[in-house]
Amino acid sequence: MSLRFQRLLLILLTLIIIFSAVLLILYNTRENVSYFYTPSEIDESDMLTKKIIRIGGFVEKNSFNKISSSSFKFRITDEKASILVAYDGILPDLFREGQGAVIEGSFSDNNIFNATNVFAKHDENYMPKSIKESLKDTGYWNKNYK
Amino acid sequence: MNKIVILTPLIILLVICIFSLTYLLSGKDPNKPPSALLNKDVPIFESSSLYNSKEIIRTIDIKNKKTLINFFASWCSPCKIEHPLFFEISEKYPELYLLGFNHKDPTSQAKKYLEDDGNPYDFVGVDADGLIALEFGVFGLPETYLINENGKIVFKFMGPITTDVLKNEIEPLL
Amino acid sequence: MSSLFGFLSLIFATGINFYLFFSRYILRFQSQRFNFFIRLSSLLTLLSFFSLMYAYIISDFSNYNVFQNSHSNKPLIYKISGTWGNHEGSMLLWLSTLSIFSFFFSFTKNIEDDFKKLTLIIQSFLHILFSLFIIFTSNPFLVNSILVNEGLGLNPILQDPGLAVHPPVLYAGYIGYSIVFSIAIAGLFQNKDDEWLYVAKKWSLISWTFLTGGIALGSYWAYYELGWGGWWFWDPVENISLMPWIAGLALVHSLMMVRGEQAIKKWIVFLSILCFSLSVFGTFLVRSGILTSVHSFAADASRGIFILLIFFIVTGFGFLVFLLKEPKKSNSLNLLFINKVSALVINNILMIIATLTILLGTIYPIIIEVLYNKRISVGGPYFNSTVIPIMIPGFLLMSIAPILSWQTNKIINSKKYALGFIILSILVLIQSFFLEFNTWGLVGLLLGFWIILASIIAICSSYKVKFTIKFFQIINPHIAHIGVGIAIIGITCSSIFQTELDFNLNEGDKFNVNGKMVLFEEIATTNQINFQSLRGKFLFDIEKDESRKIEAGKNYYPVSKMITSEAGILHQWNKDIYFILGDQKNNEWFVKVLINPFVSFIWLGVIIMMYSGLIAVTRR
Repeated sequence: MSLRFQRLLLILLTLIIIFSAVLLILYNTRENVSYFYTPSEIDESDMLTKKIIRIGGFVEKNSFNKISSSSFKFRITDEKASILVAYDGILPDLFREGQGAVIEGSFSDNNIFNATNVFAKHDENYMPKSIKESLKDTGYWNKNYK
Repeated sequence: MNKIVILTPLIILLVICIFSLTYLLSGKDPNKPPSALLNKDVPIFESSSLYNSKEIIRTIDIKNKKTLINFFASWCSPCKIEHPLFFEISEKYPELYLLGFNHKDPTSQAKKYLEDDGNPYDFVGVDADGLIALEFGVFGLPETYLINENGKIVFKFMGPITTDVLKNEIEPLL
Repeated sequence: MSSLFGFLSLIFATGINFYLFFSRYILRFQSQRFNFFIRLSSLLTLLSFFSLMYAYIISDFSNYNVFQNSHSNKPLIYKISGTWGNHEGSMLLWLSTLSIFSFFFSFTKNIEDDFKKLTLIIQSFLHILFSLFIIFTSNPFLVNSILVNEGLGLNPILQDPGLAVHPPVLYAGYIGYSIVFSIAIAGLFQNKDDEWLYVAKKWSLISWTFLTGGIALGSYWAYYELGWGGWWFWDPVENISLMPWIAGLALVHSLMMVRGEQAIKKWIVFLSILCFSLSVFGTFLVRSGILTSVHSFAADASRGIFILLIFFIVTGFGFLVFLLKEPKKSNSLNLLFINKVSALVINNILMIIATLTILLGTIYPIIIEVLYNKRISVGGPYFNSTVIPIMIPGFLLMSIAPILSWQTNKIINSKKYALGFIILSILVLIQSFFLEFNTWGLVGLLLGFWIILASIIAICSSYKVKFTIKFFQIINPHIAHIGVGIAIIGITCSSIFQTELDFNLNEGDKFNVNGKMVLFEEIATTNQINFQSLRGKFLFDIEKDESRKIEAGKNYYPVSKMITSEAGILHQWNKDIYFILGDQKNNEWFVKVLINPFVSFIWLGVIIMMYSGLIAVTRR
């Protein structure tokens, strides 16, 4: 093989690699990306597509229902609309009614959202209760705070 | 040709920076769900006064006036941090109606809190079970909402408001 | 008091750097004094960091940062690690690490004095940028305006030894690239000889080793603490540490070509700038709170804009100098179809593509939201199906690359390799036929074993085995690749051949895990000092005499009202058995058992890679 031919082969190989990488990226950004909605943004067409999406909102108060030790139903809401979610598995530690949560999954035929993943977010603005009490007891909060 | 190739990283850098900057300036925060309530009507609520349980405030009562609603609690330390700002607001904008909702607090402690730190609110509503907060989609205390004359929520802020927020985001709407 | 002291030292350190930066061409320092000032500023920065740490140790709540993030009841070690467990402190750690690197670099002997000074001046410049950021937007020394006697920080998730050491190690990796960056820029300005390439190589190896350790610690933490049974989630925070890692790997490999006297300086300089840029970009993405991540950080737009500005200045400056002062054409590459040079070039191309793919996936949500106002999330599936296929040809190449020759197309002992590969393929095929068949699993196992086998053949047939330091230095590239092979096997097995078993159990039930009987003894609740624990107690393999106890459950921290999962992990050399205790209904408990085969191989592979990173530093 001449030196020139060898280099040509190399360049060709590189181009093929780059080309297939671009194809991969293009394909996957269409297929493997999930959209994020709030419950009120979801309409009929979203329910029909059966694509994997994420829904963010709060776990509605008094909606949590334990079917068995590993299967749960609850509603996720943004105060405008709410969606019934079914989930099998272990809920995250921070999952609680009234707390923010993000649910990943897809709609089933009867418009129930089948969650494959549940993420809960802890709310940092709340102050731990005992600290607030100890603060109050000692009266260390300065009265004329400026 | 060679120069153009070397220019690409700079171009990519510029693109990334422009997008990130636009994103940052748009004030979006991906860690908090977007409020579905913005530019929507105020939720219907009904609450009694902290000082007189017979005195009731309803959604209709704040129609036709600009209202600043603040959710607070005696046990919430960030609330203490923003508290003095409400005195400034009420001094500067006497026509603005300041409505405070006391969130999940024993009455006595709420009263003591407002005694110690002062009461800037025109009306303090009790939200003992947190239902009003739920209606408003409160994520965490403190949280502040601005409602215009038409009863639409025009501004919402999570966490303690600061002088910057007051100057740059609330005041232009007043 | 310590706050004031810390703040003043920070100001002084910054002042010295300003002085060094601006007076460089006016005053013409004596070498001795220049080094003295650089070291002084480094020590002052460290002093400032330690005074913050001191404030944490003595729980000085008059410091607002300590008040927000610490608590007097915390164990000492978490008070110390609390120093960098928050935004302000972690930025100060950033700066201190930068100083430490400058400090050590100032002792480098075998480069020209002018060159060294220029490098350190660039380091000073970086120091100034970040200390201004700290002083103006994230000062950890603010005094608390309210008098308190107790702090607010008791986040139990952060009270973990893994999380305590992870940030410093990771930062050492990120910021080590600042030295490489400065050296490369200095090299562009003073383009005399190639001596600096050797210095850059050492520092890039050191930072790469730290970065490897940091990433591994992070994923090990996620594995045992998050309780999801996985160790890599393609979370944005993980991705941004992976980007400089891959780019750094490309850099280390390119620097190899210096030894073959085929310096591709232009490319090396490009990679050096890229590595540090990616590190700063990562800091920007994390600290601006721009990403949706499981690990959420407090967001503040002004901080984000400031770091974005720093990122823009650093990267823009780097690439601009690169554009204007690009190195003269060095001796051309000896590219043949399959020799070492071409293998290294292809490997570099693959790594850069992989880095760009991850970068794209990480910032894609930002772009989409700005353009279409839609929120999307790019998760595991995207990265798995783009990054892995891109890396596969690289892995194949890497098995034979170290034995390729610099000059010719010939592969020594090529028959041995061909034979080895064929036998291995058959073995893996047979094995996967009898166990479960999975294409990706097959590819992964074949690759992993092939890399190991090829490296061993290479070691045995090319060198005389003797146990001297020199020998270990020579075979070091092979050792590194064996580490990668082991890690690939671990990754493949634990992710593809993971089995998940779900049980609904009453206390006293027996159940079958992987052919072994397990007894669900009882649920026990105990009160610890600052939390309540709920534990499911299991006895593994009850038919044997020495059955093993496993405890899985949850901790409830009443102070912060938080619950944390505590997975029970039974480590065996060939698999981890991972117990997660779920919820209960009518005394029936949900128990999830994951069998992760060969997880330990991942950590072993990582350790081998770090080892050979260190060995490579010792070799010129």
